[in-house]
This record gives sequence, C-alpha cells and structure tokens, in this order.
Amino acid sequence: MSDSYIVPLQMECTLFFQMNPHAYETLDGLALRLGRTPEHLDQVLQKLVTLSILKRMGEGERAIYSYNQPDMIHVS
Amino acid sequence: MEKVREQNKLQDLQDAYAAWMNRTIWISDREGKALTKPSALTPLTTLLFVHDFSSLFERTRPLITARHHGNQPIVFDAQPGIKVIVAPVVIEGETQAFIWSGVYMEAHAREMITEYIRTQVADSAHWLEALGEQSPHQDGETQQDLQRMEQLAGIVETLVQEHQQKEGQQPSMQPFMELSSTIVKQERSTAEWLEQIELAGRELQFAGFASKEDDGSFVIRSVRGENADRLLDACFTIGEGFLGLPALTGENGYWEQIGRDPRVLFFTQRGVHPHALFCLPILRENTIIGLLFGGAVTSRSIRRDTMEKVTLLASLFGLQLSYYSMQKSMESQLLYLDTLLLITRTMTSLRDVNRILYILVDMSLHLVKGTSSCVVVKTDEAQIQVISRGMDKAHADSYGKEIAEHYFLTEKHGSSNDTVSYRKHGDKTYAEYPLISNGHVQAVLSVTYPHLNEATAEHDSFLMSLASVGGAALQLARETAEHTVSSRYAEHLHRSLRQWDPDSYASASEVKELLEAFGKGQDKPAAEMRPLVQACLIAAFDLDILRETIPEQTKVLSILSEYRALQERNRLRDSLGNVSYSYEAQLLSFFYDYVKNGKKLTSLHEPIKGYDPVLCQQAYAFLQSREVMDRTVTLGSSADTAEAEGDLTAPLRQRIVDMPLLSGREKEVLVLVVQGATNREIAENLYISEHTVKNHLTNIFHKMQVTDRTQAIAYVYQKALDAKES
Repeated sequence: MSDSYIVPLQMECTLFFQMNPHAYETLDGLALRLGRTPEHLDQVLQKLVTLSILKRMGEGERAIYSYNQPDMIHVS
Repeated sequence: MEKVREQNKLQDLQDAYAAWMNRTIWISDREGKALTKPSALTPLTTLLFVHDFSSLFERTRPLITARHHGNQPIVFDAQPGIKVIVAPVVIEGETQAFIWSGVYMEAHAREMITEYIRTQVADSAHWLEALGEQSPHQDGETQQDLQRMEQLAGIVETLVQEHQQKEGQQPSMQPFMELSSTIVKQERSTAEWLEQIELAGRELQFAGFASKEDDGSFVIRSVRGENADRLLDACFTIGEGFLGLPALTGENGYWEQIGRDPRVLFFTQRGVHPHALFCLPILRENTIIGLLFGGAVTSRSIRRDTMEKVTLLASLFGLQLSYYSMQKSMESQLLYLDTLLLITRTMTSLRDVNRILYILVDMSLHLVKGTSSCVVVKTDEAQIQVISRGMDKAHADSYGKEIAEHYFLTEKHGSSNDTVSYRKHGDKTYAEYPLISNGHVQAVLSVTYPHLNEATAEHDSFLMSLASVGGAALQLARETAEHTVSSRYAEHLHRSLRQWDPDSYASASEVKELLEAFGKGQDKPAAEMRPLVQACLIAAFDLDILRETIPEQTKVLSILSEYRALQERNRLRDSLGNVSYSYEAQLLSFFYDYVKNGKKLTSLHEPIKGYDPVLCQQAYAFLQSREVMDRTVTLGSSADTAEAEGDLTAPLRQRIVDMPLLSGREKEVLVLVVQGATNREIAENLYISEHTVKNHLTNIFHKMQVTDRTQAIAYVYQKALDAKES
C-alpha cells in the first residue's frame, strides 16, 4: 500500500481508538470493526505502535492493541 | 521515375568513386543481383564480377554475410592472390546490399598467380590473358581503399534511407491514434512503451527510461533490447554524458557517429555500443520527470521518420504519465478529504476538550511522519496545557512557555495570523498552526518534520484545515460547557425570583418571551440569543452579587452591565452623550422599557437617545405586529387562541395579575389553569403537590365566586374583553 492509502487508514484506526479509549482489540477484531482486511491493518497497527499511539500487549495473532494517551502537562 | 533518378544517383556516385580509386566498383543486392552497372571494368574484373560472379558470390557468401566484422569492409581472395574488397550497406540494422571493388594484386605475386591459374583453373587462357592486362596495386592502397569503401557505403546508406523515407510515405497515424485513444482507458507499463519505441524503426536496437529521483539525479528504471539489461539501475546526474544533456536543457537530444566520443563510455562499459543515440525529456507540468532514450548499434544513424515516430510516442508517454499521476494525486486528495471530513465530524461531536486535543496531536503526527507533535492550549489567563507525543517533559514545558509568550500573551496575533509559521526551539524546527476562534488564538498545533524540506504545501493545507476545525470544535465544546453551567445558574436564579419578587419574575418572563420571539423573527441563531435570554432572566439581581456568583459568565455579565448603564442613561437622558451600547443591551433595555411601561407602544414611538434607530424600528414593528395579534387572539375563540399563541396572551395574564383578592401563588395557579393545565401539570410546574393545587383552586373559586375551572376561565376572558372595550 502506498503512503497516500496508509495515512488515511492510520487516521481512521486512531480515531477508532480515540473514540473508544478503553477498547482492547486484536488485529482480527479490529479488522472486523473497521471493515478492513487484517493484511491491510497489520502494517498500519505496527506503524501506530512505532508512533506510540497504540500499545501492544503480547505477540503474533494474539497481540492486543489499545490506545496510548498522549503526554499532558500543565504549565503556569 | 523517382526510382530511376535514385539509381542514376547511385550510378554517378559509383562512377566517381571508381575513377577516384582507379578500381572497378559496383553494387549488388544481398542476393548478389546487380543494382548498378560496374564502373571501370577491366578484363580481369569482368571475369570476376560478370562472368564468374555467381560462383564467387556462393563461395564468399558465408564470409560476407557473417557479422563478426560489424559493418566494416573486408578484403578477401577471389582467386588465390587476386583480392577484392566488399563493403556491406546496412539499412535499419540489416545488410541490404554489397559494394564490390577490385582487384588488388601484389606485383611480386604475379608469377605465382599465373602458375596457379595455369595449373588449377579451367579455361585458364582467358584468365591468363586478363591477368596480363591487370596492373598490380601499390603498397598501402588496399588499406586506403578500405577506408574509401567504408565512406562510400555510408553515403550509399544515406541515399537509400532518404529514398526509402520518400517512398516509405508518411508514417501511418493509425497506431498513434489507437495509442492516444486508449491512454485514459488503459495504463500501459513503461516496458510496453519501450516496446512501441523499438518498433518505431528497425534501426533502433535498444531503448530505456530513466526516472528523476528525489535528489535530482536520474536512474535507469526500465530497458529493452539486446544486452540493454546491464544499463538497468545505472545512475547519472543532470548535464552528465549524453543522457544528462537533455535533462539540463529540456531539449530533445540526437547524436550520430558517437563511437569515439568519450561520453559513449556510459554505454560501452555496460556492453551496449551505440552508433547513434536519442534522448527525449518527459515533462509533467513543465518539469522533467524522466528521460526516454534509445539507439542504433548496427546502423550509423536513425532515420528521420523513425525519430518523428519516437518523438510522438514520447509525447504520448509523457501524456499518460501526467494523466495517471494527476489521477492518483486526485484520488489521494479525495482520500485525505474523506479523512478530514471524518475527523471533522468526530471532533465537532465531542464535548470533551482533551479528546479533541488528542485527535489533533495524533492526526498531525500521522500526516507528517514526524518525530513529535503537540498542542499548546490556553486554559485560563495564567495557565497553559501541553498535550504532546515524542517530547520530553522539560522540552514540552519550555516550548509551551515560548508558545504562550508568542501567541497568548500578546495581542498582535489576531484573525489575520491563521497561517503556518516556523520556529526553531532547541535542535528542532517546529511548524506551527494556530487554532483561531472569535479572532483569538485559542491553541497552537505544532509538528516537527524529520526534515524541514519535507513540509509540503499539501501538508500545510491539511494541517491548516485540521487547525481550523480544531479551533471550531474547541470553541463549540467550551461554549456547550459554558452554556450548560450558565443556563443552570440563570434558571435557578430566575425561579428563586418568583418566590420573593413575583412582579420582577413576571416581567422577566414576558421579556424573555419577547426576546425569543423577536430573535426567531429575525432569524437569529439560538446560540446567539442565549446569553441575552439568560441576562434577561436575572436582570433583577444586583450586578455585584452576580459578578461574585457567576464570574465566568462574562458575556451575560457584560450585557447586564451595559443594560444597567443604558437604563441609567434613560433616566439621565440629557446629561449623557452618545454612548454606544451593544445590540443585546439595547434590545434588553428596549423590551424591559416596553413591559415596565405597561406595554404601551406610544412610549416607544419617539426615537430614544442611545438606541440604534434601525434596531428601534425593528423592535417597534415587532411589538406592533404582536399587539395586532393579541387583539385578534383576545377576541377569538379559545381554540384559536391556543392554536395561534400556544401560551396565555399578555392581556389575559395582566387581568389575572390585576385581581386584588388573589395571592401571588393563586395568580400563578390561575394563569396555568387558563392555559389549560391539569392539576398534575400545575403541581409539576410549580413544584407543589396536587393536594396543594386543589387547595389553591378551592380558594380561587371561592374568591372569584365561581364553582369550577370552566367558569374561572370564562371569568378571566370576560374581564379581558371588558378591559379592551373600555
């Protein structure tokens, strides 16, 4: 997949986790929810983990992904 | 006729060379049939080239048709010691004819040749006689004649090619029409285009395409032709060698006789040995995106009509690249637009400010593939919040302060600053996109690119859109939160008013109704009218107390403050100058004046100092139309009343308020009875029990001297009608 297709899918995937901050999903589960193929999503999820937007627990097909909230500080 | 003329040209050329070289020269086709009459025949060359030629040709065919020697002329023995030169004429990569020249015989070999003919050759008498008349050649003449024969072959090739071009008519447009008509239907691969290029002329033996890379250099990505595979992945820069020249000038390049040009090394080192070469730049929107090249290995040149075809094909190829590149770019933009719409819908539906900020941070990080992104948002006058990814706490802290200093603590950044700006902080450069609403910067979205030169107009455009949507979503979320809180406060205070100041409560209720109806008539959005309505409900309270109670409701307090000033000005009309008041304060003051003055339009007829004349006119017209409606309703049936108003009209309410015997609470109950409310609805509305409602009704009926609610309603209507008639 080219960047022009990956980036919108990354955004869609991120929005899902942002709207469902307590979701814990496997690759297949997420593919089902977003109506995408696991093959397409796999690459995207790896990217989101690299960017620290998602957390991954476990490895392989049983790996579970969840949203990783950004850092927040208050400055006076 | 044309053919005869061309043959004459060849004959003249051959005669001239024969005289110059002092040799017999003639031209045969590749099957050995004569194309010209031999020039300068001698008895010996007559025997060789005329009487015994078929035998000579058969014997020499394997030698002269072999391509081991390329296109070079060769010398061979027609008979032992009697040599001839033959030069191939190569047209479009194929040997089309032979030029024969002879004979060459060394003087010292004459005796041996004579002996050989006498003993070995049949019909030796003729040969010996012819041999006797043949002069031997001088040293070096053979080498010199080889060069001349090569030169002659080149000229003949040119003549034949020109002739074929004339004869070969105009290139058929049919294949090009087919190609151009299918460009939008079918995307051809570069390999398919190279195949078309190769088919454009038989002399073309290789072709390739070099694409322009991000760093400005060119890399050969696709090739076709014998040995051409070794050119794959070869790299060159603008201006370098043959191929780099059109990349520099943007002009088509064509070169012949390049065998000794050092620039040909680029090809020869990779096993390709071109004699002629072309290179055409492929443009998209006036920018070179690649180079199409090809060449002839066996031919010395590329025909003009072939080059015309190649140029046309290159244009079509460029057209296809542009078309599909634009199509892909559009698809990509549509995809981004879809995503932006999805983000917009999501962000504007959110009421949680932090979640909006998370979306901004994450989405921007995706787009720029950056190392970090953050949103710096002003939470109040003294505090900012930094939400980030990829930034350590100390960096986020110092950067947040810098952003606050630049965007929030100075007034210079207004609505005109909705553009991207770049800032160096630490060892990183940040692209900053301000989130603006109501003309003020509410927050700043900031990203770092891995390399700043990767910041494109497309990215900026997307991030600016994201920032705009983010600004609106932030404003919406804050307004909703503010509205929820302020509505609650205003309604509570208004209800409490009913207990201890029913008159003010009634006035506020009436003015509220007027304001809402007026706003609706003027097509004002409910959100715009909301602070005004809230101000109306609590207008009776002391402003200082309100400031202490609801300090965050700045808009409502501002309206009330101006309203008070305007009311004060009305009393001191002559001592205050032309002070400008807000639209909301004027409207509030105007309607309160109307209600407090017994709803007499005559009191508002004259223009009042301090009010906007246009606003006055609009409000006056509105009240006039309502008065007409009130009259109609008052005299109409109760069903009409309910349908037209949906509420108790002001005159009816006034009659009830004017009833001296009824208590304030009883009047409230009666108002609701006349509106058609049931006991349960009255109880819910007034926060009392149904039992209490019944007690109030018993007292009301008793005081009004009626027996039931129907008579009570009729009584109120009758009173209102009487008042109107009087």
